[in-house]
Amino acid sequence: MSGNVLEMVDINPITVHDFNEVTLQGIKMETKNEGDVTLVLVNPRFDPITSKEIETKLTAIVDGGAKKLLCDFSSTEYISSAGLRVMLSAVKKLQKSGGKMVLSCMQPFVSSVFKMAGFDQIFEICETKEQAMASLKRVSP
Amino acid sequence: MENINPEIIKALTEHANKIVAGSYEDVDKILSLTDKTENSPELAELAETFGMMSVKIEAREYALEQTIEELKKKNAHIAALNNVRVQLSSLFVSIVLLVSSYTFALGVIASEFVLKQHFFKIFTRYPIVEIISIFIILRMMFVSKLSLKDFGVTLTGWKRSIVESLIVSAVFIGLLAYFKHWVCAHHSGVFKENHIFSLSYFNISYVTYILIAPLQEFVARGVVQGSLERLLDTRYKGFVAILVTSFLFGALHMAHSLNLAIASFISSWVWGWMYCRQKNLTGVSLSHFLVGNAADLMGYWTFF
Repeated sequence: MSGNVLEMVDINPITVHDFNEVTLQGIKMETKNEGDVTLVLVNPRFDPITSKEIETKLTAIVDGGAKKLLCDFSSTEYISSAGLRVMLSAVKKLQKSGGKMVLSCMQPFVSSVFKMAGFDQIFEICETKEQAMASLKRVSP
Repeated sequence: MENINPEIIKALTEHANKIVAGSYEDVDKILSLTDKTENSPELAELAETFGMMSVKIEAREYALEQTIEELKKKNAHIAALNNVRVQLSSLFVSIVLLVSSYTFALGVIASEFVLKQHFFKIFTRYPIVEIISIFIILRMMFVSKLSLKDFGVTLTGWKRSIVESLIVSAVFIGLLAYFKHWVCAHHSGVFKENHIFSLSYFNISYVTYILIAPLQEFVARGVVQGSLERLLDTRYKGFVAILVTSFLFGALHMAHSLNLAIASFISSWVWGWMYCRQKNLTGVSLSHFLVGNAADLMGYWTFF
Protein backbone atom coordinates (compact mmCIF):
# COMPACT_ATOMS: atom_id res chain seq x y z
CA MET A 1 0.00 0.00 0.00
CA SER A 2 1.45 3.34 -1.00
CA GLY A 3 1.38 6.39 1.31
CA ASN A 4 2.27 4.32 4.36
CA VAL A 5 3.08 6.47 7.40
CA LEU A 6 6.44 4.80 7.73
CA GLU A 7 7.28 5.85 4.21
CA MET A 8 6.36 9.47 4.86
CA VAL A 9 9.43 10.02 7.01
CA ASP A 10 12.91 9.91 5.64
CA ILE A 11 13.86 6.70 7.41
CA ASN A 12 14.07 3.20 6.13
CA PRO A 13 10.75 1.70 7.11
CA ILE A 14 11.07 -1.43 9.19
CA THR A 15 8.17 -3.76 8.83
CA VAL A 16 5.76 -4.04 11.68
CA HIS A 17 6.27 -7.77 11.66
CA ASP A 18 9.97 -7.42 12.60
CA PHE A 19 9.12 -5.26 15.62
CA ASN A 20 6.32 -7.48 16.82
CA GLU A 21 8.88 -10.14 17.37
CA VAL A 22 10.91 -7.78 19.55
CA THR A 23 7.84 -6.79 21.53
CA LEU A 24 6.86 -10.36 22.10
CA GLN A 25 10.18 -10.97 23.81
CA GLY A 26 8.52 -9.38 26.84
CA ILE A 27 10.61 -6.26 27.32
CA LYS A 28 8.91 -4.09 29.97
CA MET A 29 8.89 -0.37 30.56
CA GLU A 30 11.22 0.62 33.39
CA THR A 31 10.70 3.51 35.78
CA LYS A 32 12.83 4.93 38.56
CA ASN A 33 13.08 8.11 40.61
CA GLU A 34 16.09 10.40 40.51
CA GLY A 35 15.41 13.06 43.12
CA ASP A 36 12.05 14.60 42.29
CA VAL A 37 12.31 13.44 38.66
CA THR A 38 10.57 10.25 37.56
CA LEU A 39 12.60 8.59 34.84
CA VAL A 40 10.74 6.37 32.39
CA LEU A 41 12.62 4.12 30.02
CA VAL A 42 10.14 3.67 27.19
CA ASN A 43 9.69 0.26 25.55
CA PRO A 44 11.68 -0.57 22.42
CA ARG A 45 8.41 -0.67 20.60
CA PHE A 46 5.58 1.77 21.25
CA ASP A 47 2.77 0.28 19.20
CA PRO A 48 -0.92 -0.63 19.64
CA ILE A 49 0.09 -3.68 21.70
CA THR A 50 2.48 -2.00 24.15
CA SER A 51 0.71 1.36 24.24
CA LYS A 52 -1.99 0.11 26.61
CA GLU A 53 0.61 -1.02 29.14
CA ILE A 54 2.58 2.20 28.78
CA GLU A 55 -0.57 4.31 29.11
CA THR A 56 -1.53 2.50 32.31
CA LYS A 57 1.92 3.07 33.79
CA LEU A 58 2.15 6.71 32.76
CA THR A 59 -1.33 7.39 34.13
CA ALA A 60 -0.36 5.74 37.42
CA ILE A 61 2.80 7.86 37.61
CA VAL A 62 0.93 11.12 36.95
CA ASP A 63 -1.94 10.20 39.27
CA GLY A 64 0.68 9.31 41.89
CA GLY A 65 1.67 12.97 42.05
CA ALA A 66 4.77 13.02 39.86
CA LYS A 67 5.42 16.52 38.55
CA LYS A 68 8.65 16.03 36.64
CA LEU A 69 8.71 13.24 34.11
CA LEU A 70 11.65 12.31 31.92
CA CYS A 71 10.84 9.82 29.17
CA ASP A 72 13.97 8.19 27.84
CA PHE A 73 13.43 6.96 24.29
CA SER A 74 16.94 5.57 23.81
CA SER A 75 15.61 2.01 23.53
CA THR A 76 12.60 2.91 21.41
CA GLU A 77 12.97 2.04 17.77
CA TYR A 78 9.38 2.35 16.67
CA ILE A 79 6.39 4.47 17.67
CA SER A 80 2.95 4.31 16.09
CA SER A 81 0.02 6.72 16.20
CA ALA A 82 -1.26 4.79 19.22
CA GLY A 83 2.01 5.55 21.02
CA LEU A 84 1.84 9.20 20.08
CA ARG A 85 -1.70 9.44 21.44
CA VAL A 86 -0.59 7.92 24.75
CA MET A 87 2.17 10.52 25.01
CA LEU A 88 -0.26 13.31 24.13
CA SER A 89 -2.78 12.20 26.74
CA ALA A 90 -0.03 11.89 29.35
CA VAL A 91 1.41 15.35 28.71
CA LYS A 92 -2.07 16.91 28.76
CA LYS A 93 -2.77 15.32 32.12
CA LEU A 94 0.64 16.25 33.53
CA GLN A 95 0.48 19.87 32.38
CA LYS A 96 -3.01 20.18 33.82
CA SER A 97 -1.60 19.25 37.23
CA GLY A 98 1.26 21.73 36.81
CA GLY A 99 3.90 19.19 35.88
CA LYS A 100 6.43 19.03 33.09
CA MET A 101 7.52 16.24 30.79
CA VAL A 102 10.77 16.17 28.86
CA LEU A 103 11.73 13.56 26.29
CA SER A 104 15.27 12.51 25.54
CA CYS A 105 17.60 10.31 23.49
CA MET A 106 15.29 9.73 20.53
CA GLN A 107 16.47 7.54 17.72
CA PRO A 108 16.19 9.10 14.24
CA PHE A 109 12.99 7.28 13.28
CA VAL A 110 11.13 8.14 16.47
CA SER A 111 12.37 11.73 16.32
CA SER A 112 11.10 12.03 12.73
CA VAL A 113 7.67 10.69 13.65
CA PHE A 114 7.43 13.18 16.54
CA LYS A 115 8.37 16.06 14.24
CA MET A 116 6.03 14.92 11.49
CA ALA A 117 3.12 14.81 13.96
CA GLY A 118 4.01 18.28 15.26
CA PHE A 119 4.83 16.91 18.70
CA ASP A 120 8.05 18.89 18.81
CA GLN A 121 5.79 21.94 19.37
CA ILE A 122 4.31 20.35 22.49
CA PHE A 123 7.20 18.44 24.02
CA GLU A 124 10.63 19.59 25.01
CA ILE A 125 12.90 17.09 23.31
CA CYS A 126 16.52 16.88 24.46
CA GLU A 127 19.35 15.03 22.81
CA THR A 128 20.74 13.60 26.03
CA LYS A 129 19.35 12.46 29.33
CA GLU A 130 21.61 14.93 31.15
CA GLN A 131 20.16 17.86 29.20
CA ALA A 132 16.62 16.68 29.96
CA MET A 133 17.45 16.26 33.64
CA ALA A 134 18.97 19.75 33.77
CA SER A 135 15.88 21.19 32.12
CA LEU A 136 13.59 19.51 34.66
CA LYS A 137 15.75 20.62 37.58
CA ARG A 138 15.35 24.23 36.45
CA VAL A 139 11.61 23.90 37.10
CA SER A 140 10.70 24.96 40.63
CA PRO A 141 9.05 22.10 42.54
CA MET B 1 -8.13 -2.97 -0.51
CA GLU B 2 -10.40 -5.74 -1.74
CA ASN B 3 -9.57 -7.69 1.47
CA ILE B 4 -10.99 -5.00 3.71
CA ASN B 5 -14.51 -5.53 4.94
CA PRO B 6 -16.80 -2.73 3.62
CA GLU B 7 -18.29 -2.44 7.11
CA ILE B 8 -14.88 -1.55 8.50
CA ILE B 9 -14.37 1.00 5.74
CA LYS B 10 -17.74 2.50 6.68
CA ALA B 11 -16.79 2.56 10.37
CA LEU B 12 -13.43 4.20 9.56
CA THR B 13 -15.22 6.85 7.49
CA GLU B 14 -17.60 7.58 10.36
CA HIS B 15 -14.71 7.86 12.83
CA ALA B 16 -12.84 10.14 10.44
CA ASN B 17 -15.91 12.35 10.04
CA LYS B 18 -16.16 12.70 13.81
CA ILE B 19 -12.53 13.78 13.98
CA VAL B 20 -13.18 16.32 11.22
CA ALA B 21 -16.07 17.60 13.35
CA GLY B 22 -13.66 18.07 16.26
CA SER B 23 -14.53 15.01 18.34
CA TYR B 24 -11.68 12.70 19.30
CA GLU B 25 -13.79 10.14 21.15
CA ASP B 26 -13.42 7.57 18.39
CA VAL B 27 -9.68 7.91 17.89
CA ASP B 28 -9.04 4.93 20.14
CA LYS B 29 -11.36 2.84 17.99
CA ILE B 30 -9.31 3.70 14.93
CA LEU B 31 -6.07 3.05 16.77
CA SER B 32 -7.28 -0.38 17.86
CA LEU B 33 -7.46 -1.28 14.18
CA THR B 34 -3.75 -0.57 13.73
CA ASP B 35 -2.85 -3.83 15.49
CA LYS B 36 -1.58 -6.11 12.75
CA THR B 37 -1.87 -9.17 14.92
CA GLU B 38 -5.63 -8.79 14.91
CA ASN B 39 -6.28 -7.10 11.57
CA SER B 40 -5.09 -7.47 8.03
CA PRO B 41 -1.92 -5.53 7.17
CA GLU B 42 -3.87 -3.39 4.67
CA LEU B 43 -6.47 -2.42 7.23
CA ALA B 44 -3.84 -1.84 9.90
CA GLU B 45 -1.89 0.49 7.62
CA LEU B 46 -5.03 2.37 6.61
CA ALA B 47 -6.03 2.73 10.26
CA GLU B 48 -2.48 3.83 11.13
CA THR B 49 -2.70 6.56 8.49
CA PHE B 50 -6.05 7.71 9.86
CA GLY B 51 -4.72 7.47 13.39
CA MET B 52 -1.62 9.49 12.57
CA MET B 53 -3.73 12.17 10.92
CA SER B 54 -6.08 12.41 13.88
CA VAL B 55 -3.23 12.50 16.42
CA LYS B 56 -1.54 15.20 14.38
CA ILE B 57 -4.72 17.29 14.33
CA GLU B 58 -5.25 16.72 18.06
CA ALA B 59 -1.66 17.71 18.78
CA ARG B 60 -2.00 20.82 16.65
CA GLU B 61 -5.18 21.79 18.46
CA TYR B 62 -3.52 21.23 21.81
CA ALA B 63 -0.52 23.32 20.76
CA LEU B 64 -2.92 26.07 19.68
CA GLU B 65 -4.77 25.88 23.00
CA GLN B 66 -1.46 26.22 24.80
CA THR B 67 -0.50 29.16 22.60
CA ILE B 68 -3.81 30.85 23.36
CA GLU B 69 -3.27 30.29 27.09
CA GLU B 70 0.23 31.66 26.78
CA LEU B 71 -1.08 34.70 24.91
CA LYS B 72 -3.72 35.27 27.59
CA LYS B 73 -1.03 35.17 30.28
CA LYS B 74 1.16 37.55 28.28
CA ASN B 75 -1.81 39.82 27.75
CA ALA B 76 -2.45 39.91 31.50
CA HIS B 77 1.25 40.61 32.05
CA ILE B 78 1.15 43.48 29.54
CA ALA B 79 -1.95 44.88 31.27
CA ALA B 80 -0.13 44.68 34.63
CA LEU B 81 2.92 46.40 33.12
CA ASN B 82 0.71 49.09 31.68
CA ASN B 83 -0.81 49.61 35.12
CA VAL B 84 2.69 49.98 36.55
CA ARG B 85 3.51 52.49 33.81
CA VAL B 86 0.40 54.53 34.67
CA GLN B 87 1.21 54.44 38.38
CA LEU B 88 4.85 55.30 37.79
CA SER B 89 3.96 58.25 35.58
CA SER B 90 1.44 59.36 38.21
CA LEU B 91 4.09 59.10 40.90
CA PHE B 92 6.53 61.07 38.77
CA VAL B 93 3.98 63.80 38.09
CA SER B 94 2.99 63.90 41.77
CA ILE B 95 6.56 64.25 43.00
CA VAL B 96 7.36 66.93 40.43
CA LEU B 97 4.15 68.74 41.42
CA LEU B 98 5.00 68.36 45.09
CA VAL B 99 8.52 69.70 44.78
CA SER B 100 7.77 72.47 42.29
CA SER B 101 4.63 73.75 44.04
CA TYR B 102 6.42 73.67 47.37
CA THR B 103 9.39 75.55 45.97
CA PHE B 104 7.03 78.02 44.30
CA ALA B 105 5.12 78.51 47.56
CA LEU B 106 8.37 79.20 49.39
CA GLY B 107 9.28 81.81 46.80
CA VAL B 108 5.92 83.51 47.21
CA ILE B 109 6.18 83.46 50.98
CA ALA B 110 9.65 84.95 50.85
CA SER B 111 8.60 87.89 48.71
CA GLU B 112 8.26 91.23 50.45
CA PHE B 113 4.80 91.85 49.03
CA VAL B 114 3.40 88.65 50.48
CA LEU B 115 5.09 89.13 53.82
CA LYS B 116 3.14 92.38 54.21
CA GLN B 117 -0.19 90.60 53.68
CA HIS B 118 -1.56 89.23 56.91
CA PHE B 119 -3.48 86.40 55.18
CA PHE B 120 -0.37 84.81 53.63
CA LYS B 121 1.32 84.55 57.01
CA ILE B 122 -0.59 81.35 57.67
CA PHE B 123 1.55 79.72 54.95
CA THR B 124 4.72 80.50 56.83
CA ARG B 125 3.72 77.95 59.44
CA TYR B 126 5.10 74.44 59.34
CA PRO B 127 2.00 72.48 58.09
CA ILE B 128 2.49 73.82 54.57
CA VAL B 129 4.58 70.73 53.80
CA GLU B 130 1.83 68.41 54.94
CA ILE B 131 -0.98 70.38 53.30
CA ILE B 132 0.63 70.48 49.87
CA SER B 133 1.70 66.84 50.19
CA ILE B 134 -1.70 65.58 51.22
CA PHE B 135 -3.53 67.04 48.23
CA ILE B 136 -1.02 65.68 45.76
CA ILE B 137 -0.84 62.33 47.51
CA LEU B 138 -4.62 61.98 47.49
CA ARG B 139 -4.59 62.61 43.75
CA MET B 140 -1.93 59.95 43.31
CA MET B 141 -3.85 57.41 45.38
CA PHE B 142 -6.98 58.08 43.37
CA VAL B 143 -5.14 57.53 40.07
CA SER B 144 -3.48 54.31 41.27
CA LYS B 145 -6.83 52.69 42.25
CA LEU B 146 -4.96 50.68 44.91
CA SER B 147 -6.32 49.79 48.33
CA LEU B 148 -5.26 51.52 51.55
CA LYS B 149 -3.39 48.35 52.49
CA ASP B 150 -1.06 48.97 49.53
CA PHE B 151 -0.16 52.27 51.20
CA GLY B 152 0.63 50.65 54.53
CA VAL B 153 -2.74 51.33 56.16
CA THR B 154 -3.21 47.88 57.60
CA LEU B 155 -2.98 46.11 60.94
CA THR B 156 -1.40 43.02 59.40
CA GLY B 157 1.75 42.28 61.40
CA TRP B 158 1.17 45.17 63.82
CA LYS B 159 2.42 43.27 66.90
CA ARG B 160 5.80 42.50 65.37
CA SER B 161 6.01 46.06 64.03
CA ILE B 162 5.43 47.54 67.48
CA VAL B 163 8.04 45.30 69.12
CA GLU B 164 10.60 46.20 66.45
CA SER B 165 9.58 49.84 66.68
CA LEU B 166 10.14 49.95 70.46
CA ILE B 167 13.58 48.37 70.07
CA VAL B 168 14.63 50.71 67.23
CA SER B 169 13.21 53.76 69.04
CA ALA B 170 15.04 52.84 72.25
CA VAL B 171 18.33 52.61 70.33
CA PHE B 172 17.61 55.85 68.45
CA ILE B 173 16.71 57.75 71.65
CA GLY B 174 19.71 56.21 73.42
CA LEU B 175 22.02 57.52 70.68
CA LEU B 176 20.43 60.99 70.86
CA ALA B 177 20.85 61.00 74.66
CA TYR B 178 24.46 59.84 74.37
CA PHE B 179 25.17 62.53 71.76
CA LYS B 180 23.66 65.23 73.98
CA HIS B 181 25.66 63.96 76.93
CA TRP B 182 28.86 64.08 74.87
CA VAL B 183 28.09 67.57 73.54
CA CYS B 184 27.33 68.88 77.05
CA ALA B 185 30.56 67.36 78.36
CA HIS B 186 32.77 68.84 75.64
CA HIS B 187 30.92 71.93 74.44
CA SER B 188 29.01 73.48 77.31
CA GLY B 189 26.42 76.06 76.35
CA VAL B 190 25.30 74.37 73.16
CA PHE B 191 22.21 73.04 74.94
CA LYS B 192 20.39 75.35 77.32
CA GLU B 193 20.44 72.76 80.07
CA ASN B 194 22.75 69.84 80.89
CA HIS B 195 19.98 67.38 81.84
CA ILE B 196 19.27 64.78 79.21
CA PHE B 197 15.50 65.42 79.38
CA SER B 198 13.74 68.65 80.33
CA LEU B 199 9.98 68.89 80.84
CA SER B 200 10.17 72.65 80.24
CA TYR B 201 9.88 71.89 76.52
CA PHE B 202 6.55 70.12 76.93
CA ASN B 203 3.58 71.72 75.15
CA ILE B 204 0.39 70.81 73.27
CA SER B 205 2.33 69.77 70.15
CA TYR B 206 3.43 66.63 72.02
CA VAL B 207 -0.20 65.54 71.97
CA THR B 208 -1.02 66.65 68.41
CA TYR B 209 2.12 64.83 67.26
CA ILE B 210 0.19 61.61 67.73
CA LEU B 211 -1.72 62.62 64.58
CA ILE B 212 1.07 64.43 62.74
CA ALA B 213 3.58 61.56 62.99
CA PRO B 214 1.31 58.91 61.35
CA LEU B 215 0.27 61.45 58.71
CA GLN B 216 3.88 62.19 57.81
CA GLU B 217 4.67 58.48 57.77
CA PHE B 218 1.68 57.82 55.54
CA VAL B 219 2.94 60.34 52.99
CA ALA B 220 6.63 59.49 53.18
CA ARG B 221 6.65 55.74 53.75
CA GLY B 222 3.19 54.55 52.74
CA VAL B 223 2.76 56.50 49.54
CA VAL B 224 6.11 57.69 48.18
CA GLN B 225 8.48 54.95 49.39
CA GLY B 226 5.92 52.15 49.04
CA SER B 227 4.98 53.21 45.50
CA LEU B 228 8.61 53.50 44.44
CA GLU B 229 9.40 50.09 45.86
CA ARG B 230 6.39 48.55 44.13
CA LEU B 231 7.03 50.19 40.78
CA LEU B 232 10.79 50.19 40.43
CA ASP B 233 12.27 47.30 38.51
CA THR B 234 15.74 47.01 39.97
CA ARG B 235 17.43 44.54 42.27
CA TYR B 236 17.96 47.20 44.94
CA LYS B 237 14.51 48.78 44.67
CA GLY B 238 14.06 48.86 48.47
CA PHE B 239 17.32 50.75 48.90
CA VAL B 240 16.56 53.13 45.99
CA ALA B 241 13.05 53.80 47.35
CA ILE B 242 14.46 54.72 50.79
CA LEU B 243 17.20 56.83 49.21
CA VAL B 244 14.80 58.86 47.02
CA THR B 245 12.26 59.29 49.83
CA SER B 246 14.92 60.39 52.32
CA PHE B 247 16.35 62.98 49.93
CA LEU B 248 12.87 64.19 49.00
CA PHE B 249 11.74 64.71 52.57
CA GLY B 250 15.06 66.06 53.67
CA ALA B 251 14.80 68.60 50.85
CA LEU B 252 11.21 69.52 51.75
CA HIS B 253 12.37 70.44 55.27
CA MET B 254 15.11 72.75 54.01
CA ALA B 255 12.68 75.67 54.19
CA HIS B 256 12.77 75.45 57.97
CA SER B 257 16.46 74.81 58.49
CA LEU B 258 19.38 72.76 57.31
CA ASN B 259 19.46 71.03 60.69
CA LEU B 260 15.86 69.87 60.33
CA ALA B 261 16.53 68.74 56.77
CA ILE B 262 19.51 66.63 57.92
CA ALA B 263 17.51 65.24 60.85
CA SER B 264 14.65 64.36 58.49
CA PHE B 265 17.08 62.74 56.05
CA ILE B 266 18.73 60.59 58.74
CA SER B 267 15.52 59.54 60.47
CA SER B 268 13.96 58.80 57.08
CA TRP B 269 16.59 56.09 56.55
CA VAL B 270 15.72 54.44 59.85
CA TRP B 271 11.95 54.54 59.37
CA GLY B 272 12.34 53.73 55.69
CA TRP B 273 14.24 50.58 56.57
CA MET B 274 11.58 49.66 59.14
CA TYR B 275 8.75 50.17 56.66
CA CYS B 276 10.59 48.19 54.01
CA ARG B 277 10.57 45.23 56.44
CA GLN B 278 7.13 45.66 57.95
CA LYS B 279 4.94 47.07 55.15
CA ASN B 280 2.59 48.71 57.65
CA LEU B 281 2.56 52.15 59.22
CA THR B 282 2.03 51.05 62.83
CA GLY B 283 5.66 50.64 63.80
CA VAL B 284 7.10 53.61 61.92
CA SER B 285 4.37 55.94 63.21
CA LEU B 286 5.01 54.87 66.80
CA SER B 287 8.76 55.24 66.38
CA HIS B 288 8.34 58.65 64.74
CA PHE B 289 6.13 59.78 67.63
CA LEU B 290 8.49 58.47 70.32
CA VAL B 291 11.76 59.65 68.78
CA GLY B 292 10.33 63.04 67.71
CA ASN B 293 9.01 63.80 71.17
CA ALA B 294 12.12 62.46 72.91
CA ALA B 295 14.31 64.66 70.69
CA ASP B 296 12.12 67.60 71.64
CA LEU B 297 12.34 66.86 75.38
CA MET B 298 16.13 66.68 75.00
CA GLY B 299 16.15 70.15 73.48
CA TYR B 300 17.14 69.15 69.95
CA TRP B 301 14.27 71.10 68.41
CA THR B 302 15.89 74.38 69.48
CA PHE B 303 18.39 73.66 66.68
CA PHE B 304 15.70 72.96 64.09
